[in-house]
Amino acid sequence: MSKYYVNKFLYTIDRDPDWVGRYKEDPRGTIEAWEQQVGRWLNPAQETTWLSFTEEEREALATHNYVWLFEHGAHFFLNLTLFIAL
Amino acid sequence: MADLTAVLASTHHPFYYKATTSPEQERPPFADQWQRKVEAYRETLTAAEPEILVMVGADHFHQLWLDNYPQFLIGQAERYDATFYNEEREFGIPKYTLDGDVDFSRYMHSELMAADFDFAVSHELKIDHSIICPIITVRPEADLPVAPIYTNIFVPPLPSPKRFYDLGRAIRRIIDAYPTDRKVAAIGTGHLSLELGGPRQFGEHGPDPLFDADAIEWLSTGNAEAILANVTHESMSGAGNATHGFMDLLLMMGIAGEGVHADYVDQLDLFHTREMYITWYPHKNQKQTDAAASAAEVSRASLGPIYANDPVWDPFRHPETGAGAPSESPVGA
Repeated sequence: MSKYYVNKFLYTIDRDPDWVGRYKEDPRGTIEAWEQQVGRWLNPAQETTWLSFTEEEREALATHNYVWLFEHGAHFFLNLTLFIAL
Repeated sequence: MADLTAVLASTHHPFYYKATTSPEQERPPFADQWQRKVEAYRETLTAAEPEILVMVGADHFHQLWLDNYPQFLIGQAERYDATFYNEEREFGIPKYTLDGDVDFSRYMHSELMAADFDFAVSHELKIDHSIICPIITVRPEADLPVAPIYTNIFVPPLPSPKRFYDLGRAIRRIIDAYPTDRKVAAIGTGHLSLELGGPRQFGEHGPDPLFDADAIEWLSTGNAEAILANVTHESMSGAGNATHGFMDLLLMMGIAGEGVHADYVDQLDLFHTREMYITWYPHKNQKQTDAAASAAEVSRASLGPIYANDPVWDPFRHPETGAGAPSESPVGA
């Protein structure tokens, strides 16, 4: 479980119009791309050794299930603004 | 020493700009009254003739993030860009660039540290809507240098209500002691009861009108004792999941002073929130007195506190006798 990683996903998707578009069109594929290109990185050179989604989190994000995300502690503001955009 | 000519505490509503600048056929039905009230409120700042603005707000995960989130932060830059992509997308808020005042920010930072408020600092701060909303509402010319202060109302554990109040008191002392002949105004925004992204968000009124009734009385009478006795992080959560922005209003009341009655108090029951507009004049002069009176004629604001026993709150205390009717502003004392 990483509530932080879910919030990092919402935060970094919501701030970038390109990622918002990709997540809207292809949520499951975008999650994988995001993990490789964004999620794993603290900065351009430093990579996490441990952050990841649980299967439930991955499924909720892949199905745009904002109710599940809210109920499981995703930050309300991030959850609200991104899913309004979608 | 600096002349603190006005202290403003208001809610910020990111849709104000869109609601009041949309083409006539797209304007929501409440836009006219809202705009009338906001433009009247603006006159209370104009009459204070400010030359520097201390702006208190909170970054909504636009620049500050969970990998490194400060409790309190001051900007110390020559200029500040404002409005993030997702705020333009979501709210239709335009981009701004505000001048900073590095010497003033540096002074405030040093004095805050000396007063045991361990502030973080940012030399590249992009301002979000917590500070741009009040620029739009009360200083749309965006022509004055700002010293932006951010507080944490978003990432628990939050500083205590007392800490916010004490910070307000310290900011007041620090502004008063600043060696300048320029006039300073302090403007801060936050929230009354508010729910965002949760099940109580889209009610006909804000999620807890009776909290709002108490909050407006406490703020407009400078009643720190009542706030600190009654308001906790838990009680704010009970009033709505984003109610913690109330602590920024409490901070502004701290700048105005304990027991100091507000000189202009207005409120508006808007779809799913209650808006509030308060001004204190620490050294009220005739021009300010006249401006507040003239503004209140337009907005139907009160020229003093609005108490929780004002009839405006009756529909919420006695719902069987007519709750749900949109309430007019009370004409207070």
